[in-house]
Amino acid sequence: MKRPALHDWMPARIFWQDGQAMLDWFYLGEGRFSEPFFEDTLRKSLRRPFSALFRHTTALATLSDDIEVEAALAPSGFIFHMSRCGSTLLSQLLAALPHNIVISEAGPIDSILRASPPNAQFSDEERIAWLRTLISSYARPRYGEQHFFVKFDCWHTRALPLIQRAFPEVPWIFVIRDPVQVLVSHSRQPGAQMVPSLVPPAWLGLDWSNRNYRSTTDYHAQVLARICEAAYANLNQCAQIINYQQLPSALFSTIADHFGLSFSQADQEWMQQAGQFNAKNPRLFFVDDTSDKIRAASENIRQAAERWIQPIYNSLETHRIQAQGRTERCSTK
Amino acid sequence: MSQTEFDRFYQVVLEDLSLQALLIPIDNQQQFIDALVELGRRQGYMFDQETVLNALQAQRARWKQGWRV
Repeated sequence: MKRPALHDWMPARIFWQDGQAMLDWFYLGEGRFSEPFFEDTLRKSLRRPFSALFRHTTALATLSDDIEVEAALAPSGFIFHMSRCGSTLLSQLLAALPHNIVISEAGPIDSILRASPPNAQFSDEERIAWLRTLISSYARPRYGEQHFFVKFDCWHTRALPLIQRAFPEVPWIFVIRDPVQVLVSHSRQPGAQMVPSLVPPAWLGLDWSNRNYRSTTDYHAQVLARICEAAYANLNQCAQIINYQQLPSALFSTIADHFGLSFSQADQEWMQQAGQFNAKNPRLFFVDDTSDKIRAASENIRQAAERWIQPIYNSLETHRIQAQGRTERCSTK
Repeated sequence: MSQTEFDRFYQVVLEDLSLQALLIPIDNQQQFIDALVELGRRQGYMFDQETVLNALQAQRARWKQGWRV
């Protein structure tokens, strides 16, 4: 039976109870996912006493019974990325338009893709079914929205085979940036994927027990390489590689084409306005930090980038350049 | 007793959109607590401000728990 009471609520967290996946819902109300990350929107909502106190809790297994999944928008596009490469700028530009719903690095999606709680084992089929339903719950058009996008966590390229099985018809992009610049960013503030207690090395295909990482930078470089390798290994007709250097203009050409979007002049002007601000901290103006990052790169960073990431980055770049001008579409469309 | 009554009313509010509409716009925590206690009393659920405050603090702590998986 559908539950109208969940209309303005969104899944916030997944937790495990007796081997069963449970969902905590937060009240979003008339709010939108307009912040840079899912967690930011959640935090903002929880400032309201009502949202902080009241939460629905339902079983993930009954989600498709609880909400109108049939009314959900089909995803227009998925954004994958190697991290620190302009993907948040992209998602923020898309989120600037009120007719778009953009879910950026949502914890519950990560839980479904990665969780292996004690005393519970899930098949890929179960995860696929849950992923479809969970994503549908975010894709419910509540205020006339027309397009829906998901920006995944960078390490989710490792789950691309499963995601592609769940959504074989959804076009996706993989955003890349010069490896030295990405490594410099992580040297200043490591992402979650660089913290083994948050994203286990084994999930990234790395063996922490070998302790063969010569330095933190060396580990960071190998993490980034694994993320890129997974994307490269799963490239198909639904994939398009985007380089940071193409942003933001590629959104209005290559990406729009790939995702089947058309932006009006007013849309473009509005998005360009949003693009003036720092995507991760919209209170600040965007400043291109490319030259700063190149200058800041230590010899250690340059060597690690060259050794671990550059080969796969070159392969991705070659693929991107060769694909330019091609108009491949997801074949099942 | 107060806790049980509060727990019952909590479930009532979760399913009652008209009660929610009265509570959602309240940004001030103390005013929110007072309003919830009063709404509960009108519907025959007797609990005090302290019970609501404790619940609010417990829920805030729960929201902060853990990172992802």
